[in-house]
Amino acid sequence: MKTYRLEKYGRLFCTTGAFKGPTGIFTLKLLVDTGASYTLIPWEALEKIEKDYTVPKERVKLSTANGYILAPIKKVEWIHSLGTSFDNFPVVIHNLPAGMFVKGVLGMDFLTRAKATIDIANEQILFSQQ
Amino acid sequence: MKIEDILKQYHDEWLLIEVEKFDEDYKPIEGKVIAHSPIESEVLNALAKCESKNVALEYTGEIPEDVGVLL
Repeated sequence: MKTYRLEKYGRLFCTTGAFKGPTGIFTLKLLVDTGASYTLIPWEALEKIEKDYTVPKERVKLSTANGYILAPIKKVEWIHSLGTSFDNFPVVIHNLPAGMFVKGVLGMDFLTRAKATIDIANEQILFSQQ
Repeated sequence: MKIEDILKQYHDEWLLIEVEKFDEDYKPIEGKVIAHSPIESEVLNALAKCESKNVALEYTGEIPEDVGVLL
């Protein structure tokens, strides 16, 4: 069992995530969100790690606080967060509203695959299998 | 420069940092500031223009006590 400390922002948990593409690595703060189906990065992150990207044709329907949106989804070479790494990981490309203190989300796709257990009282996350 | 020292220098700002060194968890530990602003769009615009290969986006502010988040 591996344990990682989460960063607390108000009542929310965050951590750092790194995303690799053909042209570089982009890291940013991610909201650890069990209410999100997908991991999400902003358009600017995609532009940075994949300079000659084409707008992804594949889209997912997302239910947000403001209604449904169709957001592009694209695989990154790898994602690394909380000591866990996955290759060819699909991430949703979408900009969160201006004014948010984070620009990315670590969603249930990552947390489920990583077999994560979130210990809210102790502000940590545990992984049973690496 | 160490990232922790960079973060102490700027308050309530968005930072775009060229990462010179990661730890084993790909957390940035050394780098230099490419752009900083309290206005996030200015830093995101700088990101589009920067030539650095590996970059980090950081925010050094706190969430106000009276502001909640619902995505």
